[in-house]
Parts: sequence; structure tokens; C-alpha cells
Amino acid sequence: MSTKDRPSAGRNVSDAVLDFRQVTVEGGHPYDTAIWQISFRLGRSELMLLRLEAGHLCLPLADVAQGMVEPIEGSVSFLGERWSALSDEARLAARARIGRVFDEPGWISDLDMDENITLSQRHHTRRTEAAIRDEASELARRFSLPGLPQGKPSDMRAPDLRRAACVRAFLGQPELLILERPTAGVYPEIMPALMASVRAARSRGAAVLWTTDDWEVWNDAGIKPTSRCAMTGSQMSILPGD
Amino acid sequence: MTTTRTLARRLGEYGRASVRLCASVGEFARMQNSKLLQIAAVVSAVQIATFRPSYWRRTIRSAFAREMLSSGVEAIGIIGFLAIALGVLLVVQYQVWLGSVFQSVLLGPLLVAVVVRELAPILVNLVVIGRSGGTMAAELALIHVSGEDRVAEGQGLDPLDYFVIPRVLALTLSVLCLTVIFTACSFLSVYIFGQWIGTKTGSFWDFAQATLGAVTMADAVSLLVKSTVPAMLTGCISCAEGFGAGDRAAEVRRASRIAVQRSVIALFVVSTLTSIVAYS
Repeated sequence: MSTKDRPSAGRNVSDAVLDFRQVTVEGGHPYDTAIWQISFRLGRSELMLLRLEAGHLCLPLADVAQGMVEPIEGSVSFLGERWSALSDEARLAARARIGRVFDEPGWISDLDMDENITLSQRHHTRRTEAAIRDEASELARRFSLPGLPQGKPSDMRAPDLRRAACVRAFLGQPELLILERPTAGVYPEIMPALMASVRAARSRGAAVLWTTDDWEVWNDAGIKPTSRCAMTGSQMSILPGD
Repeated sequence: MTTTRTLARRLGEYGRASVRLCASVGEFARMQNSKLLQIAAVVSAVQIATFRPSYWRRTIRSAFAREMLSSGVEAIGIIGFLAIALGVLLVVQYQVWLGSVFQSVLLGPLLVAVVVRELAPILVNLVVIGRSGGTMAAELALIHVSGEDRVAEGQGLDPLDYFVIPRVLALTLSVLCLTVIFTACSFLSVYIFGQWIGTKTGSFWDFAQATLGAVTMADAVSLLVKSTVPAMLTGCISCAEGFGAGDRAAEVRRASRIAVQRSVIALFVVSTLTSIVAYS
């Protein structure tokens, strides 16, 4: 069944953390492909595992989910609010409630790693620097880093950048996690920490959108997604969940 | 008959060429207008943000401090060197062109006319354009090409607020401070070198009094305008060129070059207009 045919009735809209309705976005730089008439709803504590097609890894899906790209058709809502209806300031504030592992590259080269990781929290919250750094250090250790990484992103090894990206995504207890190929280059060693963090996030009500192009991740029994989807060209199809 | 057809064909070719020329001129004018509007938008965004307390979050303050260090503090050495060199040149020319009779009387007004009114803001702005303007355009073009602006936006930071405004404000404040440092260093250089080669500068306090006494309100306002307005325009032009450079790395060099050219033009236009208004 194509996602555009999926019935959406019977659930309260405010339950949905992320709601795509017939969303169409053009392709072109920097994306590998467009998305066409995609509909899905991601409720609290739900996890959607999305399989990407080889050669079409860079999709506008995450940018659209964060309200950074306006669909040419359809609408996207985050926590019951349509991105298009929000003011610029409200959009920025709403994005602070989303943790994201960016597909490469995902770092501001001018900032040190610790500044990069804590950037969103330092910008949007009044938490003390020490409290933010303590939480980030704890997450870093969970993801097998010796502590909060220092130095410029260009000085880090690719696997450590992936781990640091996970630390940044989970920092501040976001309500939506967008994990764009979080295991790329670090599978399977990152899985225990990643699964524990995902479980903890889901148990406090966060929704998770996880993309992968790796069949081993797709078939990993530990993930236990509430729904599975696969991209074929610009279309998404829903597969049976676990 | 053949002559008529040839004439008609040539007229047609001329007509098409004229249309192409008009289209090119129109396209050029449209693009320039669009650039000007972009720069005006950045200038107003900077002015609004400066006085909005909620804008100054800790991340923005850090970005501003970083830019102050890079455009201001790190340029003190070269500015100090230029100011001292200028002071020496002024004393030498002063010795050559004016007799020792008029020296102590004219030194103060001459320094104010040459350094405060014209050279200090222009030289400092030129140094900052060379050091920071082109670099800033290249940096922002790279930020755009590598998608770092999207990374910031994805974390809820407005790229204009985070990447552009701190740079423009830091550049403006840096140029103002560097101009003051430049002026002070060149005055000191004139005094010390003048003493060394025997120019009649009088005592330090006489020299300071003569020089500072020659500074009028028009000089102070002119110095303020000539140092801050071109610097702000340099920042806005560099940021607009950088972020507007397109998505290819090849555009980075072009953005940097155009930013420097336009900043120099803006500097001389603003300086000339300010001099005309202040002193004519």
C-alpha cells in the first residue's frame, strides 16, 4: 500500500509529533531525489524505520520535517502545528525541540566540537553551560567517546564524528529525533548505545524517524520499529511493522 | 530586388542585436538592483538586531567576540605599523615643505586635516577590506556550499542572525576602534620622530593641545561616519556576495573578488560624500 493511500482518520491530530500529508518536494541540489505525495504520521513513542534506495541517499525528507523546505504540495505539521503557519521565530524555537543526526556534512567548521554539540542548547535554553556540558559528556561516554570531544571537526575521525552527531541529537531530550543513517561507518559497534538512547527517548514520549541504506540495520531485530517504510524513487511505501 | 532583400535582412539583424543589447542592459540593471536590495536588507537587519536585547543570546555573543578578535584585535599590529610609518612620512614631508618658522603653529591643523579627516578612516577601511572583507565573503560562500548554514538552521539558529549579523557588527566596531588606534599611533609617531629629527613640535602637552584643539565637531562626526558606514557596507556586501555565491565551490573566489571591489567602491563613495557634506 502506498503511503498516500494510508487512512489518517481515527487518531487525534495533537497525538502526532510529525504529520506528513500528501507532501511533494522538488529534487535538485543538494538532494539526490524529489519526494512525491508522501503521507505518514509519527505519534509519541513511535519509531519509523525508513529504508533508502542505493544512490538516492540524500532526500529532502528531514529538511521538510524540520520546516526548512516548503513543500510544493501538501502540508507538514510538528506537534500539531503546521510549519507554514508558524512565524520565523516560532519555527526556530520548534526546531530546537528536534534532535537530528545530519547526513554528511553536519558540522560548523569554525566551531570546536564541544561548541558544535552544545550549540542548540546554548542558543535556545537558559541552562547553565556546566549542566549542558555534563549531559553532553555523559552522552559522549555512552557513545564510546572518552568525553565531550574537543578540537575542530576536521581533526576528528569519521566514526567519532558519527558518534558525536548522535550525542548532539540526543542532547536536551528532544521530542522528535531524525536519525539520518546514524550507523553509517559505525555499525555494529554503535548499536548498543544507540538502541539504549532510542529506547530511553521513546520511553519519555519522543518520536523517532530513522533512515538507513544498510540491510543489516534494516534487519536488526533490536530496533523494533512501529512502522517500516521504503523509498522507491521519490515515493514511499509502508511495509508491515514489527 | 536582391538589394532590397539584403537591406531587409541587415535591418533585421540590427534589430535583433539591439533587442539583445537592451535585454543585456536590462538584465544587468535588474541584477544590480537585486544586489542593492539584498545589501539594504542586510543593513536594516543588522541595525534592528543591534538594539534588540533578545538577539544577544550567548551563542551570538560568542560569535561576535570571535569576529572581534579576528577582524579587530588581530589587525592591531598592521594598523599600528601603518600609523607609525605614516607619522614618519608626514614629519619628513612637513620638514621639506614648511620652514621651521611655521612648524609649531601648523602641525596640529595639518595632522587633523590629513590624518583625522581623510587618511585614517580610508587606510583602516582599506586594510580591513583586504584582511577581512574578501575572507568574509569566501568564508560565507564556503559555509553555504558546504551546507553549514543548513546545519545551523536545522538546530534552530537563523543563518542571518548567527553568521551574518555578528560579522557585520564586529567589522563595524573593529574599524571604529582601529581608526582611533591608528590616529593615536600616527600622532605619537609624528611627535616622537619629530623630536628625533629636530622638528619643532614643542613639549608633549603643547603638541597634544595643538593637535586635539584643531579637532572640530565636524571632524569628529566625519571620522565616525567615514569609519563606521563603509565598514558596515563592507560587511553587508561581503556577506551578501558570500551567501549569494551559489552552490558551487568555483563561485567562492569570484564572490571574494567582487566583495573586495564593491567594498572599495562603497568606501570611496561614502568618504567623498561625507567630505563634501562636512567641509564644503
